[in-house]
Amino acid sequence: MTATRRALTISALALLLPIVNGCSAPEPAKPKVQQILRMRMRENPPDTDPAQSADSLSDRINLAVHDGLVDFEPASLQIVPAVAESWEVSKDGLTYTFRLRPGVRFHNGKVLTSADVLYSFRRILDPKVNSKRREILAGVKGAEAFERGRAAEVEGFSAPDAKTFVVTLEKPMPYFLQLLATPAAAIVPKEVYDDPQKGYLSQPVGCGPFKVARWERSNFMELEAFGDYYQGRPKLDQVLVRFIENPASAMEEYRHGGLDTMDEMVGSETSIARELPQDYRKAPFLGTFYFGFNLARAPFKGNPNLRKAFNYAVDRQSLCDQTFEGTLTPSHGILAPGTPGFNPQLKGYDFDPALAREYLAKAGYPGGKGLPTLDLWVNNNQKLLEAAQKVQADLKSSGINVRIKAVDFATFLQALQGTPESPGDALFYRYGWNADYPDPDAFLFWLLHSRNIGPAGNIGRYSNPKVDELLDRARNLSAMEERIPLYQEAERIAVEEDAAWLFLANYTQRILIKPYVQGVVLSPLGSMRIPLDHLWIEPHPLAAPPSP
Amino acid sequence: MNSYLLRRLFSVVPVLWAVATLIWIILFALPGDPAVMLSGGLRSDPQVLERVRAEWGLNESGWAQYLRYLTRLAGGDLGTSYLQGRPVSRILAETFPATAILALSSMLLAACGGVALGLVSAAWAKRWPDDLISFFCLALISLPVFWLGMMLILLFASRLGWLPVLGYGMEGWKIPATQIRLPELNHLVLPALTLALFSLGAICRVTRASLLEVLRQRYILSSTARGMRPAAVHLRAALRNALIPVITVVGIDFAALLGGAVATEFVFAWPGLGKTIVHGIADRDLPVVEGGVLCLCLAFVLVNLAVDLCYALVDPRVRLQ
Repeated sequence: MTATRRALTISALALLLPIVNGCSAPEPAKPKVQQILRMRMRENPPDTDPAQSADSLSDRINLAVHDGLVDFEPASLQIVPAVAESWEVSKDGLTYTFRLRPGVRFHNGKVLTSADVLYSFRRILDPKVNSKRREILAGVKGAEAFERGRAAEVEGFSAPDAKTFVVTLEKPMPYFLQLLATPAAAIVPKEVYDDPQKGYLSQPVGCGPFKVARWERSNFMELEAFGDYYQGRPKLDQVLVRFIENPASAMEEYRHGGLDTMDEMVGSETSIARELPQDYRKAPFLGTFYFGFNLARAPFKGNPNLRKAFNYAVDRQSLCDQTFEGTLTPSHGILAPGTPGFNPQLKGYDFDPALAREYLAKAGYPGGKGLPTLDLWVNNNQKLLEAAQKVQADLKSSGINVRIKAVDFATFLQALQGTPESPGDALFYRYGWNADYPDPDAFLFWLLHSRNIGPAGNIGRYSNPKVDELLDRARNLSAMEERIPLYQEAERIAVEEDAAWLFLANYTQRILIKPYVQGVVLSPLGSMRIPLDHLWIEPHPLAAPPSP
Repeated sequence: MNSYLLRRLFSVVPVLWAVATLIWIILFALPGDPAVMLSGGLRSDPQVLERVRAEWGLNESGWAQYLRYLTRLAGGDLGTSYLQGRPVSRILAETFPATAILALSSMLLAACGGVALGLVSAAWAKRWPDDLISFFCLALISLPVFWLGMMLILLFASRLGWLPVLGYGMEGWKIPATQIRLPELNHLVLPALTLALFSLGAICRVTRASLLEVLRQRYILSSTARGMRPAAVHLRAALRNALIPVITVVGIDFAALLGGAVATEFVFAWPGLGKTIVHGIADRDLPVVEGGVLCLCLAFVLVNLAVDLCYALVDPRVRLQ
C-alpha cells in the first residue's frame, strides 16, 4: 500500500514538473552559437579536381577549398588579389607578371611557390589530365604545341623566382585575369595532384579558406576552417554540406531548422517569399534563357522571317510574370543586364501576334500552312515543361504548331549538340547559358562564333562571317571602350537581322538563407560565389545544433 | 544439402552473365553520350571529347566494348566510374550497406507487423477487427511510397518533432575494420517505417489467407478436440504451417526492397545503392549502373536461395535435392 502511494506521489510530481518549470523565472537567453553553416547541396560535387570544375556544385566546393592567383570581388566582380598580391600587364597586353603573396600555405602545410603555379597551369593544358577547362589557358603562348606533344613545356609560362610567375599570351586577351579567377585556375600542390591513383578526388588539398575534413558521399561533406589561411582564418569553424536531392524534403529540413541555406524552391515561389520574407533573397544573375533553333536544318535554315515570326509570337512578359512568377526578366537580346556591353537600346522583339503572322506569311507559310509540326525538346523539369507549354500555346495562336518532347538531360544534350560536323536531331529546343566570367565574350563568342559549332557552345549552328569577324576583333583588343561597340554590333546582327534564336528572358538567382547568417553577398555569377570565409552566425534562438 | 547448395550457387553464374549482357545492351542502346556528360555537358571542348572517348574506349565498336566488358567482369573487375574516377566495387561497398540496412530493418518491421496483424485478422475473421485491418492493409498497399514518406516527415518530424526529417546521421556505429558505418537509429526509423508499411499490407493479407486455409484442416479440428486452447491452436499448430506462402512473399519483397527503395532513399536523402544507380543512369556513368545492377541481381539470387532454405526449415516435408 505504501509503495503504491509513493508511486502515485512520484507520478503526480512528475506530471507537475513541466508546470513548475514553466512557472520558474526564465533563464537569461544565452544562446551559445556554434560557428557552423549547414548548406544544402543537391548531390555530391561531380568534380573535386579544380581542373575539371565545370558545374555549379563542383565550383562551390572548389571555391571553398582552393584559391587562384586572383579572384572576383563577389558583388562588383572586380578582379582582386588572391594568391598573387600584385601583377603587371605589359603595354602590348601580352605579358602578365604576378608577384605571389608571401606566406601562402597549402592545407598540407607546404608553402606555395611559383613552381606550384607553374605546375597547376601546366596541368590544365596536359593532355593526360584532359581538363574540361583547358580553354582558360588555351591562349597562352606555346599552349597548342605543348598539348599536341610538340613541346615538353609551355613556352608562355615561366617562374623566374619563387615569388614571381610570368604568363605570355599568343594574342592579347583583355579578360585573361577573369579567366584566372574561375575555379578551374586554382593553384594545387604538385605532390598531391601528381597521384596516379587520384587520391585528391576524395581528399582535395588546396590553399583556400576551408579544408575537406570528412566526406561521406551522398550524405555530407564537412569543410573545416583552415587556420593558416593567408587571408585570415574564416569566422565559421565548419561548413557542413548536406547532400539532399529531393527539394521537397530539403525544404522541410530547412523549415525545421536543420539547414541554413536552401538553393532550390519547391512549389509557388511567391508563397515561399511570403512565408519566409527574411530568408528569401533574390539577385540578378548573368545568364540567358532562350529557345533555340537548329539553323543547319529546314525549316529554320536560311529563313530569318520564320525565326522572326516565332519571336513576335511569344509573350515574354507573361511567361516571366506568370509561368516563372517574376523569377525571370524578359530579355530583348543575348547579354544579361550587368554584363559589360549590355545594350538597353537593343530593340529585339515585342509580343505582336499580327506581326508574327505577317512574318510567317513572308517566310512562305501563310497562316502556318505548309509548316510541319515541330518537336520542342525540353529536359525533364517541371518549370521548363510549364514554360514549353506557354510557348507552345502562344505559337499556336499565331498558327505555329509545336509538340513538346520531354526527355532526360543526357538524351536532350545529344539531340541538341550533334557533332561539329553534323547537326543533332533537335530542331527547336529550350536552352540556357550562364557566364563564367563577366565579359560579353563569355556569351557571344561561345554561342555565336562559327568556330564553336556543336558541343563547344554554338549548338544552334549559327554562322555569320561578319559576326565571326567582329567577335575575333573584339577578343584581341585591350580597351573595353573599343571592344564594346564591336560586341554590341555582333549582338545586334544576331538578334535583329538574323533572329538567331527565340530570345526569351534573363535568369535571376534565388536562395533561402537563415537571417542569422551574416556577411552574405550574392554574386551575379551565382550563389556558389557566396564568400564562405566572410560569413558568420549571429547568436539567435533559431540557431540549432547540427543534426543531419 | 551441401551438393544442393553448391549446385544452386553455381547456377548463379549464367544468371549473372544474362543480366550483365541485358543491362549492357540496354545501356548501349540508350540515347545520350557518356563522353559528352563527362566533358562538361552543355559546353564540351571537342579536343577534350575526343580524348575522353579514347580514354574510356567509347570510340570502339559495340562488339569490342562488349568483349572488353565481359573480360573485365570475368576477372572480377567491375570497372571504374566514369564520373568519380574510383573503382565501382568501392562505390558499391559504400552504398550497398546503407540500402541493405534499410531493407533489412523495414523487412523485419513488415514481417513482424504483417504476421501479427494477419493472425489477429484470421482469428477474428469476418468480424470488425478483420474488416478494420483489411481496410488498413489495402490503404497501405495503394499509397505511393513517395507520398507516404513525405506525410510521415510532416507528421513525426515537422509537426511532432520526435524524429529527424531526413539523412543518415553523422555519428552511427562503425563496423570495425570496414568502411561501413551504421545509420543513427533515430534516422533509420522513418525511412524503415515508410518501406515497411508498404510491404506490411501484403504480408498481412497473405498471412490471413494462408492461416484461414490451414485452420480449415482436420488436424486443427483434432487439436481443438484434444482440448488445446484457441490461442495455442492458432500460434502453435496453425501458424507454422501457414508460413510457407508468407516466407515467399517476404523473400520477394525483401529482394525488391533492396533494389526498389529508390523513392524512399530519395525522400529521406538516404545514401543508398538505388539512388546511386539512378544517378548513374542520369549521368550515363555506365560502369556504376552495370555494377549496381549486377550487385542487386546477386543479392536477389541469394535471397531466393535463403528463402528455399527457409522452406526446408519450416516444413520438414520439403527436401532440398
